Amino acid sequence: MKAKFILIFLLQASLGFSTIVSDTIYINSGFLVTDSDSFPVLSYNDSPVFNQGNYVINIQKDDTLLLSIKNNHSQKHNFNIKSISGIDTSAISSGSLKTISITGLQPGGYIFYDSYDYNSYLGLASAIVVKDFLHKHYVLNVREFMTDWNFQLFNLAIPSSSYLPNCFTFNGKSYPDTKMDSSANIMGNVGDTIIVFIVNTGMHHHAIHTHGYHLTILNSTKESHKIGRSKDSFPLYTDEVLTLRVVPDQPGMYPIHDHNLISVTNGGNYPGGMITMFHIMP
Amino acid sequence: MRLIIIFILTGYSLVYSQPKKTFELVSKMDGIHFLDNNDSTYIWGYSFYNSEGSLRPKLPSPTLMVSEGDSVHIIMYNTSGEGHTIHLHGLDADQANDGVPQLSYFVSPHVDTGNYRIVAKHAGNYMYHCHVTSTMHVTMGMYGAFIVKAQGGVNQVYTGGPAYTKEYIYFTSDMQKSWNDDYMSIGPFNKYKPDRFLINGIEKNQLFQDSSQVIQAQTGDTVLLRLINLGYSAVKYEFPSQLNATFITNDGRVLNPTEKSDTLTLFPGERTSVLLYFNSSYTGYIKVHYHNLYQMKGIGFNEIGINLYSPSLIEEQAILTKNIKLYPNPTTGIVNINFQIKENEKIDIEAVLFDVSGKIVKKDKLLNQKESLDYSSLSNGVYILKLISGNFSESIKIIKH
Ligand SMILES: [Cu+2]
Ligand SMILES: [Cu+2]
Repeated sequence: MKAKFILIFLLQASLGFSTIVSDTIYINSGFLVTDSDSFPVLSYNDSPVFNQGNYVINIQKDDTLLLSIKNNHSQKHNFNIKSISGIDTSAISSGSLKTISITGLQPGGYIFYDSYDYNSYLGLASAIVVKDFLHKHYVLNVREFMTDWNFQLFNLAIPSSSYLPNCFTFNGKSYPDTKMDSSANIMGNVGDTIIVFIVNTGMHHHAIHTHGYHLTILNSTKESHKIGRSKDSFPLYTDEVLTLRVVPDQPGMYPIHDHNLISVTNGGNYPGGMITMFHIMP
Repeated sequence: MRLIIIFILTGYSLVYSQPKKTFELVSKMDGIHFLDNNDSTYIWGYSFYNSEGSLRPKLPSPTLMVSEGDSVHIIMYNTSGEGHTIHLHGLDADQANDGVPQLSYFVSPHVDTGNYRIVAKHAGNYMYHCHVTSTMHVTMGMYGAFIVKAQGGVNQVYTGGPAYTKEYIYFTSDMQKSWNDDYMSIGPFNKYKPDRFLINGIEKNQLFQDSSQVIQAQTGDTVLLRLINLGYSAVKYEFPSQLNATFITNDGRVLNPTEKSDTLTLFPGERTSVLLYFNSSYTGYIKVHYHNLYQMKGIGFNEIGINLYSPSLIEEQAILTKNIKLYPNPTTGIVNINFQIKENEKIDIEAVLFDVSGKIVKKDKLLNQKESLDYSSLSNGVYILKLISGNFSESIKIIKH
């Protein structure tokens, strides 16, 4: 029930055509399940059915996004975009639907999130991609959890313990479950140009390491002086959006993983957590 | 016709070309490592294969140094009780040579051999480490630097790049010592909390006691630092502003433009080549801060010393150091020393053994190319062997067990 339709109309003769893209996201609650844990989270989905992977909004450059947000959770929520001002961030009460219009987003990747309390930590943070390129792209949403915190927060308690995460996810999944998630596995052929957006919606900084290839930084929202560098190990600060380009020069399967090696675990056991793969065909 | 010739040549080179550099390593789980204040713990690692029995691993494992364009073959013999691999971090190996057990292969315990082949395409700094249960095997110490020098091994940061007069490798890592002390009960892995912060395997005062860790420079020198971080922390370097620190490569690629800054942060896995320009004489320190990856809290600190030197003294010292082979160390009693000398060169070295309190416990005179020192009557512990020749001396730590 992907409520997505496109209206095209003449805005102004002098500006040419502008596209209005409608999309609907649902704020759902449910359990995030890994090999070792099951704990409550919130998620943005494209249907009223809970999915532990967050929905990513994709639009084209110059599109106007008409976004409806349906709150299926028992608490109030809001909608915001990191580093973008002028967004209507007023409350969306439980059960209600709110539609907002977003225009003028420059091409690139953005984090949209809920700015109330711990809601972003609990899962309400995902990405909007504004495309001005034709290449295939992927989004990796990087987030860690401390499962005790989630149980406490869902009981409306303030977390009492210091933050020692025990669950590490790419797109809401922990290895080996990332293997089954087409959104988290970067597929392509030798010579393809593939754009990879990596967004950090967790509370830890991360260190993303790619085997097999060096990737070029097209944009970093935290360290713009590193744009243009070709690297295999990427600092990923909290709230950062990294835009990377890879042109694979060899076939094979190669891991992409957090090199802070506490993060390649599930519930303290190796391997798990933040591991996914490149799958590159000749 | 031309196409066919190219094909044949390519085929030839793939099948028959001999690697330019071959390294034979043994993966081992029997290392004993000394930290500041003579604290010791267990480490695992790789040591060079030696037909007479390979030595216990050191921290970090030996630096593998090649030149740009070299085809490299690393042979890893695993005689230890657990499986290991070698991952060539940043070298973009193909899948078969990537050292990831699930995707490449697993080098089984006791009798297995791993073969890793790559071509070193880009000058710069890399590392190798085990990729089996990485969280554990890395913290146990299974890592070392892998350096690709410019073509022909010349002193340029990259082929055709800026020249340097001297180079130093600083490999940062960390350790939760209780894990190494009792590696049978490591974990849960997400609770790793480092309490030892290392540069080239050592910390704090050790970095000053070992003269090879101190930057020795004089006016006019351009010093290349090869900075490699494989800790669980972000490492922040603070360079003295007088030295105009300039970053030339990062993760094995040339930076264009280069970056000038007095601070550099390396996240786990990152490497950077930094040039320091000694335009005037300078003595001081590089500060090295370790931050956790949660709110970047400072959790550790080290300093790298910078000394002015008198060139003649250091050159002699370097010659002395380079040409000494000392084994086994740790030893149960006999320590063999071999000197590589030029023809007609005379050896006249005094070997003075100190205990940790600085007391002389034994003196020997070394006059031959091969000498054996008998320390079997001494009690177990750490000693410093000072080799003195004329005005020059070199200190080597010896462990008796
Ligand atoms: Cu290992
Ligand atoms: Cu690595």
